[in-house]
Amino acid sequence: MAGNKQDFLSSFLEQAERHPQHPAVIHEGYETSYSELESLSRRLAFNIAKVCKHPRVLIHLPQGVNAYASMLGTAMAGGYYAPNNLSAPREKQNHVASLFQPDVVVSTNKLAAEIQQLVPKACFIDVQSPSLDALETPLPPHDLIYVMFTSGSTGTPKGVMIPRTALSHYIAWALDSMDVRSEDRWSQHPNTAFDLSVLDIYGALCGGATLFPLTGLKDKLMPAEAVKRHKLTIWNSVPSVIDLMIKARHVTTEHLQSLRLMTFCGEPLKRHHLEAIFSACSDLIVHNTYGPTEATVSCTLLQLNRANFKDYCLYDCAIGDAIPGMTLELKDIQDNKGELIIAGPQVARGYWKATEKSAKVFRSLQVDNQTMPAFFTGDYAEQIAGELYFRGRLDNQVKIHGNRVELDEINQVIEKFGIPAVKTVLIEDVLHAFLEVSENEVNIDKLCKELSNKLMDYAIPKHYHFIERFPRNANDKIDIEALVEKVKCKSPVI
Amino acid sequence: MRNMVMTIQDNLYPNPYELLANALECSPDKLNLDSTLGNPPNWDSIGHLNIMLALEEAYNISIDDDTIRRYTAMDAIVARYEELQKGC
Repeated sequence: MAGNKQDFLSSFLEQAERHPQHPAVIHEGYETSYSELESLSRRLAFNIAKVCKHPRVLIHLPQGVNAYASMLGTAMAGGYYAPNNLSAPREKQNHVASLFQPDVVVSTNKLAAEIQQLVPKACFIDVQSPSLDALETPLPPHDLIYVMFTSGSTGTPKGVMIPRTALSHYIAWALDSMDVRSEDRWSQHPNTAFDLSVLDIYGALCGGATLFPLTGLKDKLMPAEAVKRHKLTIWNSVPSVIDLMIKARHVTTEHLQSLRLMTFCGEPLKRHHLEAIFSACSDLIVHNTYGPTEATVSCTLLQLNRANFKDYCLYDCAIGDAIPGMTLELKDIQDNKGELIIAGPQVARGYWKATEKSAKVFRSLQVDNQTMPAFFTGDYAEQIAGELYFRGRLDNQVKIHGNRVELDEINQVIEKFGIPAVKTVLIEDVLHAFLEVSENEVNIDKLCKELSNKLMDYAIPKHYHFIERFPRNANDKIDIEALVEKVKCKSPVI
Repeated sequence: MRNMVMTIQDNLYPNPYELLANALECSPDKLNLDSTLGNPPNWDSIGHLNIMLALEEAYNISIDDDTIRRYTAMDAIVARYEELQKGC
């Protein structure tokens, strides 16, 4: 249970006390020791704690030691934070700031100029010149530790409120199941506003390992080069990053031999990913995990090795079993398929300032005569031979590179361009837009330009199909299967 | 739309439009001097990786943070091609 787990901040402070000179973060050749990271966190905590009790903190910083110290400093100050995604369009960054209405913004003068105007009442802390005083004793914690604003296709975010006990539960599990050691060198690939980064940051820093933020363009485009250069031992990302490594012909023993563990979450892990990984590194262990942001990063584990992985790849890779303390159930089962419900201490408190929306999906479940907080995921899974396989969404939401994409939102944006009817479909991991209009009525260049202003990059359809009249089924609904069939039989227009 | 594909003749180095079309698995006429990362839509992260690998092989460009940033636009790639043609 959550109450039995050590607070994650105590784990970090224990590591700092145990080996103060050990590198906590190595970024662009610059080393920050555990002692230095603790000191910076305490100085920021002093600034943050002065503002109010349980301060609400917007961390408006890129991946790196300043962002990590701001997170730890907020926890020391008894507050909770929202990390802003600095690579998102400015409009989305501003939207998060306006929605969150922070008491404190931690950033730099250069980065925060626009944000400060949006939240004029917030106290601004320049992370480059923190207080010389340090907070000696951490203050009593708030119920929440962070609010993660999920991506959304148009950039309209939904804030997921994560309790501090949920994070502690998750990190205690991660340290144990990943057997984190001080000699581990851990990648920090995802943006800090993407919840997968939570595993890297707290897993490494509470486990005494060294964290390597990967922020260079080359590291993002050719991540296996970074594995090789930094001799990383733990890799954590969405599975599609393996596709980049495969394209670059970098899934090789030479590139990946330092790794002992790769862990994936955020989208389905595919058989071809595992085949490539295990052909290059036969001794590697792969953790496939499943979980929405609403369950604190992930709540299942399937441990894979070269000998067993084929047994779990009936479709995409199976998602594994619930981790200790968490429960996974299928609701409304028909033909072994149903909606996944997650219950246990890692379930979020709900969505930020969205009581009605929260009530629909954050409910409770009876588990062993106990009432547990539960999240009704909207994910559809199938149970075969005791294994759960993710099979899609009940609503019109898909995931691309770990980002949630609402297909209806894409349709609405394209329709605003004067197209009478649009249906966007994900086919073999690629977005196809079907437009009920003849080709010569649309300036496709102009449309693409317009979409790049309105949609996140990953939400822009890759292929466009012009159809004079959509096929309809017996209920007069657009026949999606017939549209998919058209793609499989014919080359797309673009 | 500015200069189109056909204004550049093949020479010692592959035509940049054909090079990119091949990397992005699209027709060369979907590219023009205004093309950039994100437009056409298949110029995404995987598409950009394919482009950088093609530029490394065909135009002798080493892949680093600077070149990854610089060659996110067709006009920069055409400029590099023109430099190569002049023997720069």
